[in-house]
Amino acid sequence: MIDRQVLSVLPLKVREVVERELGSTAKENNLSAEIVEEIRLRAGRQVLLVTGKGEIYLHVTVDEMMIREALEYISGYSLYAYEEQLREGFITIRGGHRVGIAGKVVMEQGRVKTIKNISSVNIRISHQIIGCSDKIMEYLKGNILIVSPPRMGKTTLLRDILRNLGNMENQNIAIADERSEIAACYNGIPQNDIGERCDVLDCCPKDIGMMILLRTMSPTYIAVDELVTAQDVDSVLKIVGAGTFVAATIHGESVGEVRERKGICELFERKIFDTYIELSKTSISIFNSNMEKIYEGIV
Amino acid sequence: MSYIKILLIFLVIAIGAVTGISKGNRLKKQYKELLYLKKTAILIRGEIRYNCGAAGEVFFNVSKRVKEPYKGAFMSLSDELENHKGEEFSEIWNRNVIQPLLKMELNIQDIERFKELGENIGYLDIQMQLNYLDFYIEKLNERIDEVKTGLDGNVKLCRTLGIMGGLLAAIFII
Repeated sequence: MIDRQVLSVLPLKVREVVERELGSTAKENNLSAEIVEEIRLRAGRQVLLVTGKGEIYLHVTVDEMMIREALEYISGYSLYAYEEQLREGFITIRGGHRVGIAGKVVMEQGRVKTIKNISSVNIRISHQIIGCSDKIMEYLKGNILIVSPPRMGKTTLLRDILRNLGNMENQNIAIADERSEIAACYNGIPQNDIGERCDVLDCCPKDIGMMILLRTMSPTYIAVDELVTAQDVDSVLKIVGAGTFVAATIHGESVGEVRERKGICELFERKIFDTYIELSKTSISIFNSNMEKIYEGIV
Repeated sequence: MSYIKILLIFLVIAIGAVTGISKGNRLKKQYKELLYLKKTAILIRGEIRYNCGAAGEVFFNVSKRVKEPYKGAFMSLSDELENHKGEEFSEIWNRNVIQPLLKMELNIQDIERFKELGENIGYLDIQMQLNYLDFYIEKLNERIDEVKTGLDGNVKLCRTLGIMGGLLAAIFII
């Protein structure tokens, strides 16, 4: 079944239909509720379930009141408490599931103030795959960079690598989890298994978070998802300079493409990373710091 | 004069006195309960301002710092906010928080004002929550001042009127 936490944020009418339809659809199409990846609510449209095997439209049309009801449940009747996350366009709910939101953006002094007239809600169901990094742990050493296009599982892989590292003796893993994607903290408690020796700084900008963790938590590894800005790169350089390892992910088609990217290339020129992991839809490759392939496998 | 009549006179005087004293004590209690309501509102404000938490978390935390009936009311509010049964916040607030307060010495306007607070929690941003709570606390201060002014006089008046009423009734009996 879908996590109770996911069902509980759906509007009452939608919840009933999802529970009913999912049962019958699962039987008819041999689909399991466990493979539902997204539930999309769009005002004026039917509810859409996105599964690993395709899309399923449910016979219930979403209206504005339903979107409002869903938002009340998602935010615990307190959208005010999610001001910062709303600016980013998402809210993390209990269970680590992420709810993407779209509507009319209100700008103030050149930055997003909030999103109003919300008309679309996309509940992305978190699927932690425990053990997905077990096979490759022996190939990983030092600073690690995971490269892949979106939705190929780089955050899932990073999380599992951290879980493995965090269960090793004499390791202190610190996670700068800006978008609550790695540990999926809810009220400060990690909802995902990230190992015994992990400390999480949740919802803090990555570059600032990395420096705070470096100064305060004596980490052996600092992990961060999606290196993007020059500030992120600068923080990585400082961390490595201080003798702490970094485990990070970055969007990209391949390691070769990323190393040419402006702002990121410095990390390659200075040979900061000891291990590169390249993920695609079907394969996983691991390279050492000299860009020699040391492992290739099927995802 | 028969013993029964004497007994009746004493009884009437005693009832008058007890009624007056009880009314005076209720005024004192009402004042104390208004002060406690203010303390509760300040705690709610602090939780929202400092922790920026959602309503369930805010009231759960506040419940640990207040006495009954607020404690139980906020605990059950916090629990019910997790149920997601298609109700508005104000409905859950009224059922879990306002109903238990009806048993207290607060007058109906004070309870109505607290009910309105529940109807506005969750609306817009943090600043809005804080502004509304400031507004509520300001109104509560005015009410506390109103009750406090002449509290001692009113308490004395109630007691005196009670005793005097009893004496008057006794004279009629005689």
